[in-house]
Amino acid sequence: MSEQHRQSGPSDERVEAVIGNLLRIGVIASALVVLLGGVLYLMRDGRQPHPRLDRFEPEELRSPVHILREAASLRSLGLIMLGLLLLIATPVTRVIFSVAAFALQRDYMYVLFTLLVLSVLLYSLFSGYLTGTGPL
Amino acid sequence: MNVLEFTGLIAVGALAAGFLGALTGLGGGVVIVPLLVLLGVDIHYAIGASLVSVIATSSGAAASYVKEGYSNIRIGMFLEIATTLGALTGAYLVKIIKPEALSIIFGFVLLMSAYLSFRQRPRQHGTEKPDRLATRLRLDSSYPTPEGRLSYHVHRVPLGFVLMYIAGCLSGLLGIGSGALKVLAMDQAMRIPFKVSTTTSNFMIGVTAAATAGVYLHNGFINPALTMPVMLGVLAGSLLGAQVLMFAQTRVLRRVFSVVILALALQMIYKGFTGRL
Repeated sequence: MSEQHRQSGPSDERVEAVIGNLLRIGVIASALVVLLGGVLYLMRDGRQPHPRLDRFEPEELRSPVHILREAASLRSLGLIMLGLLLLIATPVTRVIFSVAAFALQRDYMYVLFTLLVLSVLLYSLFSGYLTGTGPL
Repeated sequence: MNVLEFTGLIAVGALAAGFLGALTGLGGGVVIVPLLVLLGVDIHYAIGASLVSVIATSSGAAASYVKEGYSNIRIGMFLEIATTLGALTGAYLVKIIKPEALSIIFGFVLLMSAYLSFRQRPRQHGTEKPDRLATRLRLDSSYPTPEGRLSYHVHRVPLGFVLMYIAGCLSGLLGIGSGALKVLAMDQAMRIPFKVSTTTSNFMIGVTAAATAGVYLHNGFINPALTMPVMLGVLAGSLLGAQVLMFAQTRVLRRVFSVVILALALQMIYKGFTGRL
């Protein structure tokens, strides 16, 4: 029969169901935070001329630390970025969860694969700090 | 135009893009980028906003796909090694490639994606012999059919891996999910059943996009004022599209929308060549 019958720990179906719910909760939470930030932004700046987006000039809100600080003081754009950060963190959480699930199944080859994916994700999020080029 | 009107306009456009993306199976990303460029938004901001909406739609849809029991997390996780590395490569290339060239590449990728997804037919999958590498990687599994669970064997793993790296590259370069190429790699190259390919592809898109998002964030591509209406609009539009898909006659809809897709692709190529970005 298939692999699943020889595995210990939670079944693949169970793992996938939990992951599915995790993703849904992440998306709903981030959408709500973005919406809250958006409403605050429109209430405060709604009548202002709209931001120039026809030429690329890097934004100031570029680091997780800075975003958290802005969001904590309930600045609207900071809140929006916090929601977006939550959204980006959702798939990362999914991968972390998968590491644990494969470990429970004693599937060490897949623990290794998943850790590889996780390290690429963390590298992407934090490499700016390592090279010193990212704002802090 | 003030902030309120601008945000409303973008939100309506994003809603339409998400709807169109869900109905055509192309995803919201490939539709929202040309739309934003058409509205005069710099392509870097456009792909940044699109990428974020890709994570939202992929993660939002995953929960309902999971219930059906088609997706294969081992195939997904193994191939995500390739897509995330590709995404990093693509995200770094954005800084080097000129906006005009980006626009042209985008146009051609959009044409290719549209062609791939309209051409795709579920492949008849017979009783094939197991592949040694796939067996060692424990990629083989089974999926539900009306006649009970049907097991399948995965083939040509190295080819699939390379195609996934390319798909990841395009995703990182253009801020799209590149689902069409992911499905091609799994369904055609690796001979994975169509339903398993599409659902597993959706599962992988979020993680691939997250690998790009970190680099985009540092580069300042993610503008909150623009991304807010784009993310919320595309998410709502794609959820709506998924509902309509369940009971609508999609063949006619697809034909109508393929004209829209074609126009958007040509617009990107034209803007790239004329330098009107």
